[in-house]
Amino acid sequence: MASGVILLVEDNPDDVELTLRGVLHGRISNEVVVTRDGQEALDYLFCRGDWTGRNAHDLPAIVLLDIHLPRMNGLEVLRHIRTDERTSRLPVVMLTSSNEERDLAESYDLGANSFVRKPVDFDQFAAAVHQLGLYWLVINEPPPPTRGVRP
Amino acid sequence: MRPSRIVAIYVLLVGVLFWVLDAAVESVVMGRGSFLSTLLTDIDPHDLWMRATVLALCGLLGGLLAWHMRRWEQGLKVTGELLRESEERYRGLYESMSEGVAFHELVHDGDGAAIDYRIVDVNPTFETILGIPRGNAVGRLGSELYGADEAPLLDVYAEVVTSGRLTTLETYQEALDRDFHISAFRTPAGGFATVFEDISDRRRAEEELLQRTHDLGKRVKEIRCLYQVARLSGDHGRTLNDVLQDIADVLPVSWQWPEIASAQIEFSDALFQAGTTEGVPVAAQSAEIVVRGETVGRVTVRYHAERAEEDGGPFLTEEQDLIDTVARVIGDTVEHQQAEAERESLARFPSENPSPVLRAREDGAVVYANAAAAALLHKLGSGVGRPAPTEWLEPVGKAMRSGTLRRIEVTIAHQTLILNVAPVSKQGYATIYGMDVTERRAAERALLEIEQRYRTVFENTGAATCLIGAEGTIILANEGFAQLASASREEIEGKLAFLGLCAPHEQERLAAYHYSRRKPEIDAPKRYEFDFVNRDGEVRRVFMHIDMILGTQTSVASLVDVTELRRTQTELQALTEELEERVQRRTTELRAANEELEAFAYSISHDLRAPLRSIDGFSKAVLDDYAECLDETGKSHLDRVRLASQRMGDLIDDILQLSKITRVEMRVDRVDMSALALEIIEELRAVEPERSVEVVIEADMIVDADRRLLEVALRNLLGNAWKFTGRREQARIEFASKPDEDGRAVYCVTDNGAGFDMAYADKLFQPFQRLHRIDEFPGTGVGLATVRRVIRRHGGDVWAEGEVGKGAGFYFSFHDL
Repeated sequence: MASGVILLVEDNPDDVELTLRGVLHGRISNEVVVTRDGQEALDYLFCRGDWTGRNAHDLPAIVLLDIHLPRMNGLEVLRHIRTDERTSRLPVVMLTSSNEERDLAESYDLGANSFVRKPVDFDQFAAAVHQLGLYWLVINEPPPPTRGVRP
Repeated sequence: MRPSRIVAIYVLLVGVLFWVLDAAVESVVMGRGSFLSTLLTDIDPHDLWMRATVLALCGLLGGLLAWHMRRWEQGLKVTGELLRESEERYRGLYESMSEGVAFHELVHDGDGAAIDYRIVDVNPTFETILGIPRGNAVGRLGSELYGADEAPLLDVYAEVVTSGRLTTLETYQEALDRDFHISAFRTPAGGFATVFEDISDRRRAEEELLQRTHDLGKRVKEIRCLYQVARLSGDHGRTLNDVLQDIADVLPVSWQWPEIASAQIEFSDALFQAGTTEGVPVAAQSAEIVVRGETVGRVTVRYHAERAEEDGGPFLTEEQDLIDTVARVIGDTVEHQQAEAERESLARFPSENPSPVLRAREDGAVVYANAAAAALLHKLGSGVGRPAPTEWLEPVGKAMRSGTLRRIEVTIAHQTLILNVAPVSKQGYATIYGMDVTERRAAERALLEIEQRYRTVFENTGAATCLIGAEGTIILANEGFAQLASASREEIEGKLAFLGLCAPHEQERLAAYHYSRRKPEIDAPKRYEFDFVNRDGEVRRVFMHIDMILGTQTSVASLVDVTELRRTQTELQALTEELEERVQRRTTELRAANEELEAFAYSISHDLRAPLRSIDGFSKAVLDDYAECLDETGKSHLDRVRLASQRMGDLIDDILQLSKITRVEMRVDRVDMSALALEIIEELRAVEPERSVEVVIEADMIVDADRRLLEVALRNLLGNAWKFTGRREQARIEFASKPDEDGRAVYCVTDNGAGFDMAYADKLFQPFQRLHRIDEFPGTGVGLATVRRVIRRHGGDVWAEGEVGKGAGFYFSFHDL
């Protein structure tokens, strides 16, 4: 049974704080799990390291993935998610400060579901987070679990 | 001799005998002289008397006896039947007749029918004609005598016997192989006689005559044919083609079977036909038409139906002769006509000659002039029947006296002529053949000029030039070559070998070129460099251009001293290499810098915005969470912090875009600017739907450009126009094109907005330069700089015109794209 967790992959504590505020502002009640780098995000998803023992079938409802991350960057994380059968259908939204064309192109090539640039203006940022939550958690029908993953 | 005459002569002889006996007695018995004297002269008168009496008595007695004998004989005739005399006459006739005569009697069978006849008698001519002796013939049957089953002509003879009518007939008897004319009549004895003649020879003669007559008929036909052919071919007033057609017409009727004959004459490429056209030819005979030993055609006669063969084919032997003769006559006619034509054309020779031909007597009078000569003489006031021009008289006289050809050259009104005076001394005149040499003389002059020109060119080639003969000797050298060789032209020309001026290590190669160049099948290089050694032993590097003079064994070589040039080139080469290396190094540095810049820009876009987000975000958090702890000033300060950080964010975005314009790779495409502008305006309207702006965009402004860059530029230009017309009630934006003085399109975005002061027009396109206060019109001052970069990357230019309070116009073009 999916718990509807929002997995936020973000190393900048300010941005973590602001995102959480945006979630709060948007009156989104889902639990937000924050991982601080790409490796930790993958540990969470595949129940390794600190997350050993977590129910691997309990996938997040949405992953908000920054690109600039220590150790393993967001694009590499996305590649891992898409290449692993268990997470290949997982909705991933790139949430980043840049709108560099090569980042956009690469994200979509790797199978990102959305690309959202974080605006400087917090009001706009909050609005974006609110709309993301509304879309991915309410409007959008989640993907069916991939074969062999069902408990 | 009749018996009466014999008796009379006999008695007379007795008298003569008495005379002779008496003479003999006188001579011998009485010895009265010789016998002869006693016989005729020395006769005793007594004896003479006696002898004469005896002789007379004997004569009288003989006469009496003869008379009696005669009477007796006549008595016999009277009594010896007249019949016998008649029979004898007929017998004689019978015996001596030229016709054969035979008497026959019919042999009958038991029923009285004639079955044969028996020969009763035949005359000697019968024997002669049939070669059967009388003894063999008489008493034999006709059938057995003539060797046939049935006696010949038995029916005829039986009919003669029965009717008693004389019957004559001519018949051929096969058993005897003879023709006979037979008359048969009944004899009083009840038999029949035949009088016959062998007419075999006559019949043969008749047949021969008939044949002769027939042949003669044919000969007459042939002769008539030949006569007509000869007459036609002799008619010189007509064309050869007409003559040949007429001859063809004559031929079929001259042949044995005219109704099935056709004739055809092939001559050169022409064909002449006559006679029947019905049916397919089944037989043909032909003869070749030969003119001067060459076959030029053929006469053919064909029969279009079968006929009995005669003389070895449907054609007569004579007809082959005839066709041969006709072909020969045609050949002769053609030859004659050709000869005639030739003679005529020869006769026209002098008169048609375009060069002057004239004849002058020894005294100088002109007796003949052709058209060209007449025209010439006319110019000189002379003519036929008048004296030749004065200056011609001397050579004419000389030629006549010496009997040799004289030649003079005269120029008459720009025309130069050579006159060949050929004396015909025996007949007392000279023939003058003129030859127009005006053009030849002009050509000679031109040649001289060209020669002069080439000599000048040769001297002034600007290079060292020389001519090299087949043996390698320098034939001719110009001053430049003399200088290069460091020798005088006299020392060089005809004396110096070209190879003697080449460095030893070059000689083998250059000698090979020299010889192969003179062979048509081998190519030798025409341009090359080599080391030249002058007479002072100094080595110079020269570039040579060498080629053969067409149609000779001489080559022409032009040499340029490139010693200095080569040294300079070597230095230049070194410098170039160094420069290239430097450029390479710079390029590498530049590329590294560019990569660094790109990394920098990337980092800015990520890292510079993050703190701004924190500043703005947490200011907002303070305002939200601690609103009750802040007074209005505090809140206002925080608002300003937020505004500044947002502006900073915009600035970063614009700078990034500006840098991106120069970095991105161009992708040129057809772009419909009109449609693009319309899209941008729609977006602007969507953001500020409350504004009323009249926008006019010219249709179909299509350019070759990078779509993304052009969109950035248009977005800035139209965005500015939109922004600066924000305070106008009746805002108006126009995007249109117009041709410049060179006819190229200039595009412009004009508005009736705030405008600007032209004094600052040059600052407009520099980054971060603003002409309005931020609170009047927000902006970063990077937009127009971005526009200029876009246009310049397209090889174009952009400029602006404006007036404060009236509006602005931004112009751009893509001149060099």
